[in-house]
Amino acid sequence: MNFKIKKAVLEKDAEKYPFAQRAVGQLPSSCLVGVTEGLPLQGYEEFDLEKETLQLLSFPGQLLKPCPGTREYLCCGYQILNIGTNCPLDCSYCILQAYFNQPCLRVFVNVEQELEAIGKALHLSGRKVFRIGTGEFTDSLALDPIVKWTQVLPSFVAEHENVVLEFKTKTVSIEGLLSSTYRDRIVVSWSLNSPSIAAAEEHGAPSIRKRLEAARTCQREGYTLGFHFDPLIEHPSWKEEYARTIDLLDHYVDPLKVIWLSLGCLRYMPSLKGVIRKRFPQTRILDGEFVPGLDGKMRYIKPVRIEMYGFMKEKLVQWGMESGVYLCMESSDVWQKAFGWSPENSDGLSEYLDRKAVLAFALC
Amino acid sequence: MNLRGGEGMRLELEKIPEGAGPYTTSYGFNLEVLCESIRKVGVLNPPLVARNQEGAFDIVSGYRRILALKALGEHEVLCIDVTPVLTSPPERFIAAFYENLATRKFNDIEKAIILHKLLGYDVQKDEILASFMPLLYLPSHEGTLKLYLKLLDLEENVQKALAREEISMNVAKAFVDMEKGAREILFAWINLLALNFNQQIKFIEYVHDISIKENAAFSKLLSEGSVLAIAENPRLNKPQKAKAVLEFLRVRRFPRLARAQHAVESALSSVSMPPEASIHYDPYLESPYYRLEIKFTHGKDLKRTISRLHALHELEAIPELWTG
Repeated sequence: MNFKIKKAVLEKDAEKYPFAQRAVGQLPSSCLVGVTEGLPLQGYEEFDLEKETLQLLSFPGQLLKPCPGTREYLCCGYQILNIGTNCPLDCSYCILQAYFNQPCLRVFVNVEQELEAIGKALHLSGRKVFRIGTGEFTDSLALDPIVKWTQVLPSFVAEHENVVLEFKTKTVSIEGLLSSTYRDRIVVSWSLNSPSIAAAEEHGAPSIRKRLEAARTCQREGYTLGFHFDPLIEHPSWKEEYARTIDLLDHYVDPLKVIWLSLGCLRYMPSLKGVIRKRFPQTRILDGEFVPGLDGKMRYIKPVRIEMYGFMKEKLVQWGMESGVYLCMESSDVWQKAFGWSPENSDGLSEYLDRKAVLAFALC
Repeated sequence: MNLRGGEGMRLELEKIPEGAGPYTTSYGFNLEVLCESIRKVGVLNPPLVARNQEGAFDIVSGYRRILALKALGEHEVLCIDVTPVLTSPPERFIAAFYENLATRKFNDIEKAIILHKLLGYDVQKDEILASFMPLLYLPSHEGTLKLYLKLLDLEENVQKALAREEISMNVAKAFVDMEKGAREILFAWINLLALNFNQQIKFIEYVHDISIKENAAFSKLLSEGSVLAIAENPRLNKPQKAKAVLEFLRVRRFPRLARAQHAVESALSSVSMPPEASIHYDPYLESPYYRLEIKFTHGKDLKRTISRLHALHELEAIPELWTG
């Protein structure tokens, strides 16, 4: 990987957790390790993201929460397992730049203990499928060589038959997955973009080709794959550029073993714009016509989104993705115009993806 | 720190050096009200002064009072000499700070001056963040401290505009990250058009976005014939010019949205709606729905309006949003 942890901070109450001890054991010898009461917030501003300090701490809140979708747009009913926040990659468009009030990489060491409680709640819920992901507030695999999430989370999935777990990443850190013997109901997903956006805007992330090589390895090893083109960004020759990525997908991946693929055009909280302008003054990702959406986030005007989704859908169908392509946080009329159908509401979308999971993993 | 040991004295105004001196925090003020007050009731609180290493008097607090007295043609002032009780410059500055804090509100440049001087008097950054910034109604963030210190690098006219609340702090924040040339052009236009706070930030955002998108310098964009024609149009007053320039920039920044909005407006304006009924839509055309509003005083009234709308064939010409 292109990043390096130079300093680790272990919060005092985190020391007792085996997860923390294991993680410290994996740190390079050059890494300074300290114990503290907690990092002060003072002095932090969003422009000073700290990507070289790893903070290991016990998270006091709930680790599993539904995706904070908004009622104005269709949400897929995903559950977020909050295993850590912030990410060693440095994508110019990343919403996390304006989302958290702590600058460094944070990993929650009480995840194993919390999973026990979560498991009991899931068991009692009676719900058929829980689609759970860890890639919303951090990259699911970027820190895996140190913190070994791929050793902890699959055993949780194995114990709960109604759980489908998605690792979402831009990295090629798949060693942990390959050494894990449990692979049922685990989806390994890659976030993709056009090759030029990946090169110019996804700082520290491997190229699209490298990501797809890793995806092919996982697919050959029996893992079910997913993909996410999010954010789609309008840029010069975007059609040719995204078609290039789909050509690469065709080269590396069997579409029949891809469970789902999401599309989402770039959107951001208004406060993010200033952060992006300051941290990445040369970026062109803000050039498009962005307007306030019904949820308050800035998004491309509708015809741009519809054209991009329609184009992508057509190419993905040509590749072989007949079903499982869905839109992240879009309105029903955009679905209808881009795809020719709509799940109508969030429940409809959630059921659609649950059915995909039921079929893919032969859930009862 | 106790000022009781200070000695009252009459000081000739000409013995007080010109200029604000090392302890003053005042900036961008208007002396007229203070002059009027002194003319009516005199100086109620004597200024504090202290001898410096050269033996001359520095003003510890009361700079504006002394300026006002000079403006009124007075020759001497009753002061308190605090040299024996405030022996070091940091002590004198802290005294001046608290004296001002208790009696007035600081403008943003004054806050910047205070923070800068505190650092200059070797007050630790942590103490400034934890103790002084809250007193100035500022968040205890290092980023905010850095921003305020940078305000002092802005040109004098920009600082004065900020102190007088002619430009907003958001504009100042945008200015500190800008090259001098770009800042001067934007500031000149903000003044020329007398933009209000909302318009100022919109103007800067449009110009910035367009200049990045079109790879054109601010100066080139704002010297285009279309912009100058608005600015120089003798038939427009300042608010009209401001509105027209902003609209020009908005259309340039959002060409497809502007075209679609124009199409909707044209379609709606060709419908002869009854005066009690009106059609509305999301200005960003994000919601797919129009909204019909009918004002009525009773049911028969409502029924009559609905009948009139029912008979209005022009309604069928209203297009779906984004297709007009």
